[in-house]
Amino acid sequence: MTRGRVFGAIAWREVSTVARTRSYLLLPVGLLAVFAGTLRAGGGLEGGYVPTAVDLLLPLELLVPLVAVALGYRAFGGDNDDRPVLLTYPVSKRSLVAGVFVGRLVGLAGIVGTPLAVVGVVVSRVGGHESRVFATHGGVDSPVLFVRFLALTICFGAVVLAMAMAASILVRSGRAALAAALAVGVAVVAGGDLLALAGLTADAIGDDALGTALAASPNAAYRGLVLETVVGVATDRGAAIDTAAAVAGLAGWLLASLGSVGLGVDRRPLTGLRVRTRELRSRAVEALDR
Amino acid sequence: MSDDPVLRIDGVSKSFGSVEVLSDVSVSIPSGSVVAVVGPNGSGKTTLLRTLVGDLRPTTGTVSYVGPDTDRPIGYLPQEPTFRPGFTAAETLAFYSSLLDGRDPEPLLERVGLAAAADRNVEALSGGMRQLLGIAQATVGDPPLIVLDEPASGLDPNMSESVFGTAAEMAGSGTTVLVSSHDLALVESTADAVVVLNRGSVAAAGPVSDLRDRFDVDSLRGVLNAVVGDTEAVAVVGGTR
Repeated sequence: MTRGRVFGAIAWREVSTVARTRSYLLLPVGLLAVFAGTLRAGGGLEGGYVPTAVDLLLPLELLVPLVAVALGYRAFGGDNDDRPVLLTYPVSKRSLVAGVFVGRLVGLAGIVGTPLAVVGVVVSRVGGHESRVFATHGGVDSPVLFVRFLALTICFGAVVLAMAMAASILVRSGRAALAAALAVGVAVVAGGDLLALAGLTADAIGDDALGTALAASPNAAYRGLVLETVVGVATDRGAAIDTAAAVAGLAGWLLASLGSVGLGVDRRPLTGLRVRTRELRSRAVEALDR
Repeated sequence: MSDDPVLRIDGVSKSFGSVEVLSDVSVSIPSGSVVAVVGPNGSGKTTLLRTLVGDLRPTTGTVSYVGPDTDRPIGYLPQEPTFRPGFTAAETLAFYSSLLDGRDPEPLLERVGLAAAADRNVEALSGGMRQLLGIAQATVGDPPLIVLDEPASGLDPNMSESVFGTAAEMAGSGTTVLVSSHDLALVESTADAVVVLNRGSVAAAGPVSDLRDRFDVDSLRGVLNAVVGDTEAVAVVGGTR
């Protein structure tokens, strides 16, 4: 049995779980309704792909974390938690974490990506002439920019999904897992921006370091990357954020969160440490007695 | 039953904080036998079984699997098995089977009498049927050692008898079955050996007939009463905190 097959089996079970959960299936419908309302008010549809992305950016900063929390908080909880049984199969911790994360991420990509793709198709029908051009240079609205926007949105979702899974796996009960995952959601939506604002007003963060500081906050990094690599390309107005720092910030949150899930997944992350501490203590006592 | 052990438990203790739930447990589980772990509520049966399957790490001591080399050495039915909602009984077993050899789950469902419910979603199964599905899951991949924590819980008397009968059949074909149960009559009629736990320690162990002779009683219940004493209170190990 290869690791790849185990990973595939676990990931497929997660995808099937998302697809079979009716409440999850309502999420893309809800998102599409919010997008429709937002675009109707903002008028981005007629403007083309980039104005549409600008209109949807703020709602997505709020809604993507909500979807990620909904998918992540029960990934290892309640009836979904069969870790004691999986331990008796040749399933490595890495395959389990990777399989659950990738499976749920596919679900998230479907839930967020489907209504965004519908919006993209609508823009291609009602957008201006310029929106039907596949741009080969800057300054032109293009479906390529909207695909880039969609990809960045799913990457942002992946980071928050991993954070929600990490928060929920470190607590035992279902309610505590929901509370922990929601706390992550609130922290992602508002925490980074508030900290940056507090740093600015307290003169702890200088104007020149603001772009780098914002990169440490997942939603600010996402917003900055969209402004830089989608809006900035078409309008020639970039420099919203330090791009490399933003990518590093998102990658750092993703890897740290998945690492935490890996630590928490064996249900006794601190046991080994406690045992070693106890052994060290008894050795120290013996040495002192001598 | 063979004299070769399939599992060795040497000086295993398990503490949760300051509460020691298992204390210096040492037992060998012979291969091809049905071994029952019995004891009053709170005696440490579930903690012992969870430690044996690797769900809990012993605070001290070692658990060594010394049976045949295989992809899945130990099958496990937890005390409260969980199944992914939205999946049928057959799909549930097919998933676990796909982690090993991908064999058809149908014969496993037939073995536990669940073939007729193969296409029923797990959330629509009764408590007893979920228990049977859990037992079928424990046998996926034909592990040499199967650990069943309270397999008869929630089953009617006939089904309980059938589960223990299946355990005896599996032992007859070389599989070792380690089972915890409060149904002492079924244990007495099925188990080759019994481990009696009391307050986290092994109070007695051996074939049922030997234990009856040693305590000069005529049933396993008599053995348990002799070891534990008549009490109506749950044993609370480690004091009140």
